[in-house]
Order: sequence, then C-alpha cells, then structure tokens
Amino acid sequence: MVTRQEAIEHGQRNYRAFHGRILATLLPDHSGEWAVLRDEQVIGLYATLDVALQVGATEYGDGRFSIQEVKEEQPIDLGWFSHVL
Amino acid sequence: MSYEGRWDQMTGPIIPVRPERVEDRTRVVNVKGLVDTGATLPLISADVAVTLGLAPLRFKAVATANGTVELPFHVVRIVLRTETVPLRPRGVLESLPDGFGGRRMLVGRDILKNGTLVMGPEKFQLTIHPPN
Repeated sequence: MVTRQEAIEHGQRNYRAFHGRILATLLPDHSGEWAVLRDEQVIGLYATLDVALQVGATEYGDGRFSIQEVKEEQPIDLGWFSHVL
Repeated sequence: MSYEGRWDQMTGPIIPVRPERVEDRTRVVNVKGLVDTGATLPLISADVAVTLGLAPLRFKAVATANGTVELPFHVVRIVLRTETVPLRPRGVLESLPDGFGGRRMLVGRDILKNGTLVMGPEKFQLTIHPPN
C-alpha cells in the first residue's frame, strides 16, 4: 500500500500526463467519461465516477491509481491564498 | 442557516464549520473557516482530509504565483456549526501539507453563492438560502 504522500505524488504525475498528452486524444470520442490512471497511463474508461472508483479500488488495492474526468479544465483560482500555496 | 460574527482582525471573517465525510457522518472535524470571496472552491488542510479518511484519488489544477499545482479534490458535506442541516455534498480541494499558512479551511464562492454575505467594518453576516 502506498503512503498518502506517495499517492498524492503519483496522482499529480497522472494529472500532468492526462492533461498534457492524453486528454486531446480522448475528447473526440470519450468526453464526459471517467478515466482510471496508473503510472501515467489510462487503464480504463468508464461512464460514471462511481464505477471508475470501484474498478480502481478493486484492481489496484495498493492505492496507486487516480481518476480524471475526460473534459477540459482551467486552473482554479483560490484568491489571495493562491499566493501562499 | 445564518451566522453572524465579528472580524478576526488578523485574518478576516471566520465562521465555525464542520466538514463531514459523505459516506460516514460520524467522521467530522470542527474547524474555523476563513471566508474568502476570491476563492472559487472551498479548501481544507491536509490534516482535515486525513481525519475524514479521504483518499487522494481525484486532482484539480490550482493557479498559484509560481504556476499551477495539482491538489487532491474530494466531495464532502459541510455544516455551519450553528445549524444541524448540512449543505448538499460539494467539491473541496485539499492543500499540500506545508501550504495554506496554518489555516484549516477556506470557505469559497461555491458556498457563498448560495447565500448573502453582508460585510461591515467590525461584523459580518452570512445567510445561506435554501435550496443549497
């Protein structure tokens, strides 16, 4: 089982890979679906978040996976606190 | 639900809130939430996420002064501690362990947009209107 910090770092790498190179290839045919990611690769695509979470937890009990929705996202603004993160 | 408080002169308007785990309402944390009208989403500290047992499985990018950072994203219930009825479950970001300046929660516009926030020079009042 990965530590919480390892899970966060793994999920951050997955996020960068997903939005950097994977998302554009999925948007035409899979917009709105949910991707299960592991080691910066898409393992599966599912219609709902609940199913994606269930599959990830079942297949990867070590906690080394993350979920992203197939959609464009803009960075979130946290106001003043964006400057202290 | 309504809360009236006085400004914390060092930080700003603080409201008592209680994030709860959606699947288990016995897993709760009582915190002081800083009202931040500039924040799009609420933000909880890493220790609050750990206490609620929230696994970091979804992420969102947040704009910072040094570029973007990817933060864990969770769905929780939030209760104003003067009330008993929770708001509907909603998304919150989790700060990095060394971030957030010692705060435990920001109350952003995703919550504030459901109500009226009246800011005075010494006092403020937040009223959330149903449906929330």
